[in-house]
Amino acid sequence: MSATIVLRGVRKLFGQVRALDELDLEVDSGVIGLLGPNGSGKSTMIKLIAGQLRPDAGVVRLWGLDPFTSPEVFRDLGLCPEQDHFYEDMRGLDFVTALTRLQGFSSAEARERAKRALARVGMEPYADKRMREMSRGMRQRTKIAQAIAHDPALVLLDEPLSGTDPVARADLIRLIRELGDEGRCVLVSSHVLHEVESMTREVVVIRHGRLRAQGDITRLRGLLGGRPYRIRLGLTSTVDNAEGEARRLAAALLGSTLIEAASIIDGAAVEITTTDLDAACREIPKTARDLALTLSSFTSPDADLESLYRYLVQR
Amino acid sequence: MNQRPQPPRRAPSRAGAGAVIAWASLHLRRNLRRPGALAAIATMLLAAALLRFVADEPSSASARILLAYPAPLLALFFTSGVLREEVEDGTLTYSFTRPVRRSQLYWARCAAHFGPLLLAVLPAVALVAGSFGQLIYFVLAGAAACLAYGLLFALFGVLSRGAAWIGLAFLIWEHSALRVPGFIQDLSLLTYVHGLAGVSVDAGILTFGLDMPSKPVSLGVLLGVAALSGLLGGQLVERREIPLGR
Repeated sequence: MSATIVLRGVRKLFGQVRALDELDLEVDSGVIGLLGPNGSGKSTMIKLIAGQLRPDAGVVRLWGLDPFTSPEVFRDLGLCPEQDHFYEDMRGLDFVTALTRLQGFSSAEARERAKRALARVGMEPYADKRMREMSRGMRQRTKIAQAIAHDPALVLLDEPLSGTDPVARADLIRLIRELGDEGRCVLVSSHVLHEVESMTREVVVIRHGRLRAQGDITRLRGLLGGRPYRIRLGLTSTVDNAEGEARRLAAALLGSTLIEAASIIDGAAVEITTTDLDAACREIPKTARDLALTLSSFTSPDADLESLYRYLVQR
Repeated sequence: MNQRPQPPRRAPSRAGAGAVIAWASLHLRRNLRRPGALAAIATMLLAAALLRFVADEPSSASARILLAYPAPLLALFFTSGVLREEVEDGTLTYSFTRPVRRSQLYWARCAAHFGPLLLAVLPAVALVAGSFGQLIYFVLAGAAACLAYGLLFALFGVLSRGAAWIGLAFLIWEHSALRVPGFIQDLSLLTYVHGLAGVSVDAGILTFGLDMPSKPVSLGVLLGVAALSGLLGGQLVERREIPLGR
């Protein structure tokens, strides 16, 4: 079965600037984080998927249809654009109702759906405020409400958390996860990496308009073979002998050809560097057991999204 | 990509005419509340009242003035930015991502902008009419002029950011064409507006041999220009990429 979103060889030029270049992408369902530095082509990609732009080369398909020429795809697509623009004179509820009405629902049903969507984003108490009287966070939540009021199968959220306070941000992250859990495809662009990480493990990384990586964060990290990979080992030790035991473990691990470097962190933990993650993961517990040491933690600073992202966009 | 899986059918496949009319109605209400619209309506009524009761101009002369100068200018003011203002406000994104043809949204926007235009022009030309017969033709000519100029200027707005300047140049051409002898006069929309209103064309001393077009011909030409401009504008909006937002 074809994916929900398919981009094949997509190129988009703005004058001499290549916003997207030979971009191939398939996305099916769940929450997908769209990552990339400023100017990498994230918003251009979302606009192409939302049928607001037409590719200069290649094809964009939603459920097999061209979004630029097939307005019927919008019955199941909700877009929360990045720009903070509204009909400022309108009340929040009227704004969402009017756009939901344009989806083809009757006035009464559109209003009901608008109320539900506003409640879902925590805007129910402020639904009668005019857009120009709302804070940035309220406007952002109203924008998300209009994107989900018609219950779309595909939701495109361009920087949805910008301008929101921490409480609203946590609520919206929960909402985005719920949307994914309900079986929708939710494509979320953001440059705030830990927020994306709290929404999903599936990411798409683009840079200079090209796809740099796509997939599960952990799996992607595993595919980066040959790159040094850091592992931090904690030991179950008393305060007095913590550094000594850490040094013993570090020295033993350095004797292995798998370990390229080892260092003591905070006088109690060992950080090793390896290029063969799987083999090192087998070797480390064995070495610790041989030294009669007990490992209390086994983590990698390189497994988080931040380091993966940094590696992908800087290489 | 040979398979064409369909999305879940929770929503209607395409929004119907009711949704588009509701959208037009929403924008009509918003447009009518704007200070510019209210000022235009008031100014036109005041101008008509001055022409009729203070200057004591004959009905035909008053109608000719109102139809030749403020009506096209107001059409330019109200309709040349039908889409442009939404592009500049960044709000077009919301309507262009709905299951409605872009051309329908364009026509809905045009209809919403005709509201204040018609409300400014039609009562004014009705006010200067000297008889019921004149009133009918003045109002008909006013409506046809608003449609023809309005949709033409809306088309200019789709074609160019400088639609207001292009429209102004077009209006200068319109008045200049009336003062050139021969068939050139037939290329001016004003000829047909005046023909439909039944008022003589104030063509200046250079004009000779100008035949007033008949009312059916005038109506046909004005409606033809309006229809052609509307269709072309709709097609352009449908096919062209309109830069939305930054």
